[in-house]
Formats: sequence, structure tokens, C-alpha cells
Amino acid sequence: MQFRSLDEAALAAAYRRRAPFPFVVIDDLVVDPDALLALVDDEGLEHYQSDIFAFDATAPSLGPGLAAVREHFTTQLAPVLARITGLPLARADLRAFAYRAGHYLLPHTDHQESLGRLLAYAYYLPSPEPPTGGELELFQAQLVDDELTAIESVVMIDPRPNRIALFEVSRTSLHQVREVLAGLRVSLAGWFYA
Amino acid sequence: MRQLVENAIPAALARDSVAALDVIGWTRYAMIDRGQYEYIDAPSGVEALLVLVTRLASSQLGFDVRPVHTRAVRLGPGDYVLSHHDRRHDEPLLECIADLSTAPSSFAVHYREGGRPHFVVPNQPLAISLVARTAASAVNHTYVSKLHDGALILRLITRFLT
Repeated sequence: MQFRSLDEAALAAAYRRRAPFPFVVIDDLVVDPDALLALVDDEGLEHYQSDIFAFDATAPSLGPGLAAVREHFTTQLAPVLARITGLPLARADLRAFAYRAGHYLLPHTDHQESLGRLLAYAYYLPSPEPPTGGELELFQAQLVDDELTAIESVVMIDPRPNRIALFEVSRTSLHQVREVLAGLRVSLAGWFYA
Repeated sequence: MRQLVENAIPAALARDSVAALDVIGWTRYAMIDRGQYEYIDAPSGVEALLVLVTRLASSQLGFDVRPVHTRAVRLGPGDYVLSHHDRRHDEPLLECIADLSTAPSSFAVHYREGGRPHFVVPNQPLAISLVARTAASAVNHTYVSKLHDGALILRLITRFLT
């Protein structure tokens, strides 16, 4: 697995000036994205559902193929993203997700004090059936008395193949994956930690 | 107690109740990290339905109860109520849901007790569910898929202190 070289200064500037909270979108991240899709196929997916989500995903414990990808995210991507974001990123976790028609992830922040998530990411793989829907939507919100208020949709990020979307995790990093209405949205997603 | 009484609401009463709610008008709730739906708190015009629900609750419990909180909720495509939006309560409650929807769907109400699945209330028009709740219980109304364009789910939720 090989990452394309990035214009770190331009991405850092973009990351800092973004609203509603720091985020950046990088296209053409990986030199051979099709190889990653084959790894997801090998891994096997299970259905997960709660009040907040419905999707197919790999188990939290990865097989050797995706574990190697996670290692690349930690050793190769985390140092670059640390320079872009200014966050002390040292390691990544990773799961593969497949959102089919009717799948969704409702608004939430990813923030849990005890988990130490610093930077969330979603990397979109080439899909055999490009999805309709499945956008990553970012919301502006204010924290008042420990509750999010004044919520407003600000950014919509298309799940374009070989694109990675990254955003800083905080108590106001409210976001969702909009329902997939047709096709298949395949992604690798997780967080970077200190 | 956790049960579903099918065909508990006469169809005419359901129609009249829905008409009364529509006259009051719905308020949109959109604190989207908790839920997205329409609601009417303590609605007027549904007294006959409340009498029916209260009689059923008292009959099932074996003693008389009276409503302490009533809310009508309406969910269309894209709507949901998450479990952490559920109002916390210390007293034991009986929660009854009168289903005023005009058509069934797969979008249910899920009760959990101590984090574990406790009871699923299907979207079944004219049914009334009765679920005993403790301080450790939580409830969510499933996300209504946008693939079901015409879905409209209407529930009258009544709570009784037990």
C-alpha cells in the first residue's frame, strides 16, 4: 500500500480555516485503491444495528490484510496527518464498512473522554455499485449546559472513491452518514489517537 | 409487564383522534443528536382515547391508574428518536403506546432494560402496547427509512405511575 505525496502546507491551511470544526478532504490518497477493496472482500462483513446506526462492517479484530492496512495508516499516514492537523497522532484503528440501501449512521460527535479519539476519518473505496446518498454531513452546533443546540447543517462530503475525509473529534463535532438510497458505499473508517 | 394488545383501538376512534391532533398542529423536534420527529405534548381532543388506554392499563395492572404524561409523536421518512433522548425517571412507570398509524411498517419501538433488549413494539395500527419501566430502562423509535416514501407513524404515548 502506498500513499500519494501530499501538499501538507496547503492541507494544513485548509484544515485550520474550516467550519463548522476543523476538517479536511483529500482526494486520490492511495496509489492502488482497488487492491484495498479486494482486502475488504476477503475479510467478511457482518450486520450491525442499534438505535443510531445500521450497516455492515468487519469485526473489530481484523484479519491480516486489513491489519496491515491499519499498520500503514499508523506508520505512514499518522505522521503526515499530525503535521497537517497539529494533533499528536501516533496510532490509528480501522474497520471496513459497507453501507447498502437503507443503511445510515445518525448524528453523533464520536467524542468520549475516556477513548482519546483525536481525529476521525473515513476513506472511501471504489464501489462496484456507486452509491446514491451516503454523504458525510457535518453540523455546526453550540454546547450549552452540556447539550448541543443551534444545530445547522454546514458541509456535505460525497463518498468519492479514493477520498479521505478527516475531522477533529470534539464535543461539538456533530456529524452523520446520510442514508444510502441505492448502491453500495464502502469505506475504511476509524480514528487516530495520541 | 410487556405486552401488545392488538386491535385495541376502534378504527373510528383512531380516525377521530388523528383528526383532533392535526387540528392542534404538530411541532417539529430537531435536536438531531437526540431525535427528529413531530410532537404534541398533553394533546387535547383525544380524551376518549385516553380513557380507553387508562382503562386498559388499570385492567392489566389490577388497580386504577391515571396518566401523568401524554405525548403524541409523528415520524416520517428520515425521522427517529434515540434512546439517550429518553426522559429519565426514578419512579416505576407503565408506558402505553397507542398506535394511530394508518398502515403498518417495519419501524418499531425498542425498549431496553439495563442495556439489554426488553420488548419490541411493532408499528401495528390500532394496537396498544403496555411496558413497565424502571430507572434502568430506555426506549428508542427506529429510524424511518427514506426508502419508504409514504411512511407516517403516529403514536400516542401515555405514562402512568405504578
